[in-house]
Amino acid sequence: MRSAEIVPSNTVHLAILWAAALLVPSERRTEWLAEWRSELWYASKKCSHEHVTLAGGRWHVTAFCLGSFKDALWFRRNTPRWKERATLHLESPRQCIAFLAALVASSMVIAFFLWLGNRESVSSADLFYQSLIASLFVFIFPFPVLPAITSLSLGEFPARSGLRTWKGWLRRWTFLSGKVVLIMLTAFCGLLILGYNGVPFIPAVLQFEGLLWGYTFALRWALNDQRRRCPVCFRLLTHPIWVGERSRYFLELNCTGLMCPNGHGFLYVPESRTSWFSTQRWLCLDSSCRALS
Amino acid sequence: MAGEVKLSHTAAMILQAISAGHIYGFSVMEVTGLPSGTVYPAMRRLERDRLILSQWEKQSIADAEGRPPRKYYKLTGVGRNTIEASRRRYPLLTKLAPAKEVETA
Repeated sequence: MRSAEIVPSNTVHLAILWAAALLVPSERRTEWLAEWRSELWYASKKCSHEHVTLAGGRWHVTAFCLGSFKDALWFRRNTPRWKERATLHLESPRQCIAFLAALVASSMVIAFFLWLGNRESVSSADLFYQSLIASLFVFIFPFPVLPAITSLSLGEFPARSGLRTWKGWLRRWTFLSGKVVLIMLTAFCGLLILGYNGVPFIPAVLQFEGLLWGYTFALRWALNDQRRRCPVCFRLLTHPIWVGERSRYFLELNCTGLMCPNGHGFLYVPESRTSWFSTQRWLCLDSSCRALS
Repeated sequence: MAGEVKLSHTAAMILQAISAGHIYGFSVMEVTGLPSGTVYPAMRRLERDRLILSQWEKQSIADAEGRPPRKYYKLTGVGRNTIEASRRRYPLLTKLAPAKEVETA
């Protein structure tokens, strides 16, 4: 956003800043880099005025530039990530299911063509049963692992909202189960592809490990995606904002608030878990608030 | 309760430095002796908590002086209340970051 005509003393310093800038979320990067380049100009100037030796001076400015990584990491940690996820265009439940169905279809097509090419050398029935047995292990593997890499809670819902009724429960779990089943089908097709030697130049063990962890993280994504959706219309929530101040952590809410694009309600996600605010909370809005969305 | 934000010693030093007229990052580093990896993220936190505000210098002023524009920081009302409370909490704060004449605001 600001001047580009700043000439730093050393291109290495500029390269350090550019490398650190890659950590900064794209919407903040230009301004962040402009500030650091400006500060670098003054830091370099100060070093030469103080008659610091070249090596010492260079070390001094380099240390200054290396500090930019901590600053960039701060930005990365403190920028809501939901904005980035929206770029996949999975906002609506249909888009999400269609995306997963396309994954299943494409992996089925690959498995089919591999079968066509190898049907004489590999018995299809044997391979199918072997994949089925392997899939039992693959499908069980994430259950002890998932609680370690993500929360299993889907959040709290207000008592009078209709979301705690069996209908609301059924709708939410049908959508989540649909995603999980499609992910499982993709993993099963992946196992079939591995049975036909998969990618020839990668060891089979690595391919299997990749599939195993890929499946586990796909399930983690399914849970995270479910938590970031409106429980009424299942659209991805938007407009993340911070609520509260961390310095007043024990006095008031300190969380990120998200809104349903159709105006069904707000979601409050705690920044850190506490005994009184351990999981995300949904706040319903009545129809008079729809105009706000 | 408003304005009584509790700050760490480091954050209070940085806020004191800005209050004393060291209104850009490198100047804060010089007066506090803290490394850049501490000063800049701390200033982001202070800005997020609305204790300070940042503003880019006008391009024309920087161009006239043949230098790049700087991003200046200044205390907000809450920031001024907080630094007063921090001075009571850390009595040596003013000695650690003495006042300076502001060149540009």
